[in-house]
Amino acid sequence: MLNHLLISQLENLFGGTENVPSGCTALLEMISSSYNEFEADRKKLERTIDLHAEKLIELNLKLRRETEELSKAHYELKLLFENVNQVFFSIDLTKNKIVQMSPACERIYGYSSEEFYQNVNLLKEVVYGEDRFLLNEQETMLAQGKSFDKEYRIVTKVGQIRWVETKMTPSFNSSNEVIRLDGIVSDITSRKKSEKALIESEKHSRNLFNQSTIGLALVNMQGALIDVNEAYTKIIGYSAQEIKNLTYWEITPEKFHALEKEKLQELKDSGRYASYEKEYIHKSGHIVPVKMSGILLEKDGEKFILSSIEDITESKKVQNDLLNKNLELQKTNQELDKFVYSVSHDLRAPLTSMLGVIEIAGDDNKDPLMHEHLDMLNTGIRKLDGFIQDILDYSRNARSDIRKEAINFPEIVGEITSHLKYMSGHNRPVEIRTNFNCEECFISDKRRISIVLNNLIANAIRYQQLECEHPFVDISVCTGAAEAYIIIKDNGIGIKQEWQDKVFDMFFRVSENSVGSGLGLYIVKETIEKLRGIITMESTFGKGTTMVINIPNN
Amino acid sequence: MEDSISPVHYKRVLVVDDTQIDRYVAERNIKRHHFAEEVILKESARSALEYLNSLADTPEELPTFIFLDIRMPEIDGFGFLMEYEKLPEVIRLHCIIVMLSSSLDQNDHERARNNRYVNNFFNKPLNKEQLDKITPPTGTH
Repeated sequence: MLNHLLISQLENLFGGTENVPSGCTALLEMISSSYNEFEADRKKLERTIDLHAEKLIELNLKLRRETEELSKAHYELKLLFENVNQVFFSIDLTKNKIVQMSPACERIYGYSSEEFYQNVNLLKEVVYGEDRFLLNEQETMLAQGKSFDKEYRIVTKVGQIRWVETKMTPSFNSSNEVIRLDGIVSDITSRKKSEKALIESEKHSRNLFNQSTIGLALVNMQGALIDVNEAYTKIIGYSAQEIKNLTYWEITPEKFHALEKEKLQELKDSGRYASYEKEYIHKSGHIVPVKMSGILLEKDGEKFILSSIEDITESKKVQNDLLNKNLELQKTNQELDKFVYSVSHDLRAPLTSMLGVIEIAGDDNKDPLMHEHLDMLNTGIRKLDGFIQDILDYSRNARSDIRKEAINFPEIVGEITSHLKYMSGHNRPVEIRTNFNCEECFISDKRRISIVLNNLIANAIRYQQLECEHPFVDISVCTGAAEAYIIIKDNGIGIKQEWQDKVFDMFFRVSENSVGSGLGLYIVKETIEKLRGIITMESTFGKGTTMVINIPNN
Repeated sequence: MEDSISPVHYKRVLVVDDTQIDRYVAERNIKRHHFAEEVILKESARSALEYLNSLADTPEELPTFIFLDIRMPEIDGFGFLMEYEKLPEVIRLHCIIVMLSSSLDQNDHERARNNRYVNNFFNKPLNKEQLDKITPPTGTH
């Protein structure tokens, strides 16, 4: 098979392969195979060229990209150099000249790069007086070929003091001489300031911690006492040194361990634990009652409990004393009650005996003078008896608890009025009018209600007007859900204006001739106050008195 | 000397009181108001209980009313009531107890009211109105 290129040549030359002289066939075949080889080589070559071309394009692209990046980097570097707060500088020692100074220097020093270029010593001149000793050190270090790294203060062009950190590195020539210094200066003023503030605030906190009169303890989650203040050492009696070897559990009585665990859980859940009372075991072995509260702190990833501890020995003592005092008082009160009752009985018993004898004595004697004398005795004894009853009522009101029961006003008033009917003396019977509107159940202290009503009704009868033809007492009671409203109105002698403010005072009596003890209205007022009620009085001398009482419904 | 023609209401009553004057006053008033024919006076709860016990076999001799003081030495009125409960039923069925005291102590009044043998509580001195309360309206026994 002839090469296709050769075939087309032959056609051109001979007008078809069949016209080629037959002797040439072998030659043609040789030429054909050369052709083939040539063609294969050419194709190979073409491929190689293609390959290289692609690579070239790729390289070219890469080059372009890198150039871009480089120029970008350069730009950024330039920006950095110009804008960063750090100042880069180079000093050529062979020329004794600053050859490079980034513009940021103006921000730190207040001097422009230009000023530094013109004065090689400016970098040293700006150093704050007190810190100049460092310059010698710098010199020595650099001369020895070492880097220099220090923090010191500088004075700016306008006289401000700033903190800077300077790092300097020397470069050497082949004969090992320092020919160049490169350095970076950073403004660390604000860092220094906050460092100072931090130190001060730590100092402040420390002072607070140490001087607090309340014990403070920092405890880790295992119960080790990490840090305590002086007040704390005083509470438990161990020195700060001894405390370091103690755990919280060692100074807590076992009975509190369960509670402590509860509090620990509370702390983990809520970040704090509410104040509670517990006890510590003092170094000397005795128990110290304390009140504590605390919060959870986290420091460098580790958890701590900061607790405040108050020694409540004193307040516990006071509390106990109070409790004991209270018990004592209760006892005294009970004794006093018993005393009052038995005294009143022992005082009353002979009086009632006397009243009995006086009555009998009168029966057997018709002598009017004798009867007059017996009446006097009777009046005197009844007055004394009334006094004893008042004292009894008073002590009862002052000390006994309030009892609660449904109050039947008609019944109470009925008892009182029937009892008072027999009130002796020259008084005429007094008409007693009652008006009850008591559908609403009224709950209060029956004895106290009786005391109040008895005193007021007795007064109304006792102080009737002799000239009055028709003496009366008008008692009306109205009960409601909130309170009872009681009005006791009489047409008796009334109370003079100037005495009206005083009639509720203890032992106040209008005159020496008054039959009462001077306690009646005082007891009324005290009793109503005990029931948290109010009494108001309206009285016109010579006309009568009206008492209005409001007592809350319990 | 008072109208001796009035009928006497009860045959016999007992007064238990440690105070001589009070026994005397009670007796006088009971007699004067013809409340009882005979007044037995006992100065202690113990002697009163002994007296009652001695009549267990002759209940018709028992007093109809017992006027009982509260504050007495040794056994007081309430102590008497506790012992009274242990007496033969025949005695308890026959007697009516009335407290006669000068006590104003509400607790005394309540305790008396709550005791099933106590019929009434009178404040001393014993008077006609009180006796009228325990006298049958017919005025006979």
